Amino acid sequence: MEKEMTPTIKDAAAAVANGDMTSEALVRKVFEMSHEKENTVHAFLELYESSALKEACMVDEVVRTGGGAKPLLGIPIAIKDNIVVSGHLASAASRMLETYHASYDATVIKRLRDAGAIIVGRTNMDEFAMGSSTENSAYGTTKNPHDLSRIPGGSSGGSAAAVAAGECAAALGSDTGGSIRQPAALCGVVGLKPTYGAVSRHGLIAMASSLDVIGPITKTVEDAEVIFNVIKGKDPLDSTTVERAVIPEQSAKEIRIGIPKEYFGAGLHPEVKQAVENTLQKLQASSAGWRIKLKEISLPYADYALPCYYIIMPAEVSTNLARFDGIRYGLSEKSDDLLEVYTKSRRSGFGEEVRRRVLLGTYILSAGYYDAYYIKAQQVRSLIKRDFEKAFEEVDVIASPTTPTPAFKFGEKSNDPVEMYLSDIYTVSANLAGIPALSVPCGMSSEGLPIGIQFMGRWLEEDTLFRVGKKVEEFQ
Amino acid sequence: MISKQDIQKLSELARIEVRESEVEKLRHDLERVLEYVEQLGRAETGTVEAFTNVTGMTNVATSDDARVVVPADVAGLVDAAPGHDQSFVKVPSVWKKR
Repeated sequence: MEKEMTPTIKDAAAAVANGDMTSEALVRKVFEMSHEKENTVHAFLELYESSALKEACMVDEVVRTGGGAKPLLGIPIAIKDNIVVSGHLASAASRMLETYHASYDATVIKRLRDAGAIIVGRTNMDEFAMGSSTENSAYGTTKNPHDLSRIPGGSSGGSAAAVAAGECAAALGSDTGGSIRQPAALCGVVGLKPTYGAVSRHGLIAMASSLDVIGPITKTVEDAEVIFNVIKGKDPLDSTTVERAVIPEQSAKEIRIGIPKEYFGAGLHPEVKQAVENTLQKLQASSAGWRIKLKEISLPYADYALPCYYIIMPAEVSTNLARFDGIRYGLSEKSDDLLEVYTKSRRSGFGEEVRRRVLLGTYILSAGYYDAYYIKAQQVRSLIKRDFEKAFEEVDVIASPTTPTPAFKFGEKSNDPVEMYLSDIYTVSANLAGIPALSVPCGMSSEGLPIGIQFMGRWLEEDTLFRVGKKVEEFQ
Repeated sequence: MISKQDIQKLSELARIEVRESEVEKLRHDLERVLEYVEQLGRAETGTVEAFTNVTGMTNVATSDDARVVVPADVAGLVDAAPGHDQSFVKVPSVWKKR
C-alpha cells in the first residue's frame, strides 16, 4: 500500500484558514480516493458527497470573508455508523436500524462542526460494535487496506481502514473493549481510547454504558491530540462526563514506562513481541530532551480481565438493546400480537453475534446466576482497577502490545466466539479500569502487516500518552 | 450446563425468537463462553467491594425546571417509530378482547 504524503491536521486547518488551501480541495481529494478504493476496501456505508462539498464551500466562503482559524477548519472526517449525525441514517451496521434517520447531532458531532470539521460519511463496523473484525456488519465486510484478504479489525474497522486508505483525514470510532485501538493497530494508524467520561457519549448508540467511549482514529499522534481536544469535556447531556481541572505539567524530565510481564506471555505472536520490545528499547535509548526509563511491573489480575469483560459487557448489552423492540425505532415485523412484534422484530433485526450476546447477558443477569457471575465480575473489576492504581504509583505509563497477532484472514476466527474474543485480550483492561490508552504503529510483520504498541496512562492523563506516542513516531 | 429448555427460557426473557434450527448452535456457543468465563471463580476476591464507577463520582441532581421542548424534536422522535399517527406512537393492542 502506498503511503500518501499528507499534511497534518494542524497544518491543513491552518492552510485553509489563511487561504493557502481550500476545504473544497481537501474534501474532493478524499472523495477521489474513496472512488478509487471503495470497490475493494469498503470502509464506508455511505459517503455524504453533496452535503460535505456544500459544507466545504461554505467554509471556504467564510475564510474569504475574513473568518478566523479553527482547529479542524475544513478537515474531512469520517464517522463510525453508531454515532448519530442529524438528518442522516445511523444504522450501527444493523438491519434493525437500516432505515433509522437520526433527528439530532451527537455532542461529538456538534463539537467537530463547531471546530470547522466536514463530515464526509459513515463508516462500516461490527453490528452494534460487537466484534473484532468488522465481519459482523449486516452490510458486508471491510478489507484491510494493507492486505485485502485480511480483516481490518473491529469493531471500528471501517474508520481505521478509511484513515489507512486515505479516504478521510481522520475518523471517529467507539471503544468498548478495544474497538478503536485494535483496528487502528491492524491497519497501521493511530487510535485513542480516551479516559471513560472524558468524551460525551450523548448520541452514541449504546453498547455497554460503563465501558463505551468515543475517540479518534488518525494518521499521527498529533492529529489524535487535536481531535481529542476538540471533542473532550463536560456535557450536561452525559452525566458521566468529567473535566480535568488542571492540565498536567508536561515538562517532566523523565517518564517511567512500566512493562507488565503478564502482557508478554503465551499467545503473543513472536513478531509482535519483537516489534514492541524493539520500540521500548529505542525509547529507552533515545536521549533527546527528556528520558524514558523502563521498569518491569506486574498486574496480577490481568489474566482475569477478558473473562470479567465477557460477563459485564453482555449484561449491559442485554439491557441496552432492550430498546430495540420494533415499536420505537427501525425494523418492525407486523403482527396483531404485541409480544410477537418484539420477538420477531428482534429475531430478524439482530445478527447472530448480537443475539448471542443478548441471550448471554440475559442468562448472566437472571436470578440465581446474578451473584455468581455479575457481582463476582464487578469485584474482579475493582481489583483490576486497583492493580492499575498501584502500578501508577511506580510508573507514569504502561506499555504493551495492542493486539496478540497482526491482522488475520477472513473467516479465520468466525467459528469459535472465544477465539475472536481473544483478539481483545490486551485492550479490555483499559476499559474495565476506565483509563486512557493509545495505540501507535511500531513496525511491520514479515508479511507486511502493521503492528501496534499500546500505551495506557493514568485517569485523564492523555497528554502523557501523546508525548510518548510522538516519540515512537520519530523512529518509524 | 445449558439445556435446550434454558435456551427457550432465555429466548422468552430476551424477547428474541429462537428457531428450532438455531437451538443447538446457540446452546453450544453459550456454553463455550460460559466455560471460558468460569475461570473468574479462581480469582481471590475476598470481601472487596463490587465496582460501581470509574471516576469516583457521586450522584448529580439537576434542578427541577421545566424544559422547553421544541415541537420539531418531538416530531423527529415520533417519526422514528415504525407505526405512528400524528404525535402518537401506534402499538398493537396490549390486552386481547375476549
